[in-house]
Amino acid sequence: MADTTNQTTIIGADTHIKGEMSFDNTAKLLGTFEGQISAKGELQVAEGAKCKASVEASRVSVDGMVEGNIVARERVALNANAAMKGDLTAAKLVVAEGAVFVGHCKVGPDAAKGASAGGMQTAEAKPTATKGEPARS
Amino acid sequence: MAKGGTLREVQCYHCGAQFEISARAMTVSCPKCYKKLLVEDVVIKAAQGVTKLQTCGKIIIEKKGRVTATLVEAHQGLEVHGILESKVLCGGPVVIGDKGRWKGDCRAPSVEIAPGARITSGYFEIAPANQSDRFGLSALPGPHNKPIAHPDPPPNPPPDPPHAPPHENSAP
Repeated sequence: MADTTNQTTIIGADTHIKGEMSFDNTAKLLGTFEGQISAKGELQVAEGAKCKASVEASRVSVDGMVEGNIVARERVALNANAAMKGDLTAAKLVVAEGAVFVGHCKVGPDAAKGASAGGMQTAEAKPTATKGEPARS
Repeated sequence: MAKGGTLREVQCYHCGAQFEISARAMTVSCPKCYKKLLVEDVVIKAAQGVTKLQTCGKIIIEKKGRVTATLVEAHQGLEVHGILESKVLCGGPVVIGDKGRWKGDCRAPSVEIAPGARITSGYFEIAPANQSDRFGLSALPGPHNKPIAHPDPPPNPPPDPPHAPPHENSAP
């Protein structure tokens, strides 16, 4: 039996998926995904990829575009080219300079406990910014 | 105008007017609204409870610093290595250090969050000035983020003609 613990599932740049996806190890999204992702391992959203989904995973690394809520049990990394719109809950968050992020944010060891991406309100349901100042939550 | 010194551009955090001041100036008055402006960097080393903390420069909250306010506005940037509880409007980069603790909303062109930082709650709007339109965000304050966030009110519309015909879709 082949060892699958270090395998990475790659969703190619010309792939468009709608629906639910779950995986145990690592998945790298190069194309487009719409729906719901739940993972025990890591989700990598590559540069140029689009992910319109609520994501639950241990680790999430974003270089592309994500629209939806993310709950990460361990770590979320928004790299310099990342653009994210949605709520974010993670034990650890790393945001590089240049990343775009619009949404509610909870970070800390206790933040991810008991949170689920589907249970959070979507970014659209939250108050939007008024002119020149952040929205009041 | 300063004699032979270098100039820097600042934006009034009361009315939004942009103007140049001497690079060495610490406080100035806005030439448009005449209100006093703090333009130097602010370093917080201990606990401070204030209503508003505003500067045209940068705010640095050190490890033992704590700011509890309703609004923190820094046009050049903000560094949090201690505790911050406030709504934040920042024209420069926001840096939350690994020991930083954050509670409150934030609007800034960029943010750097180090692993270990804790964000209790907050609505974040982080987008560089050139991408803010893409996310439906208005311009941020600060000299690097034009256009000005507080535009002048539009001129009054011309009065209607005295005997204008009724609109076709108007209610009877």
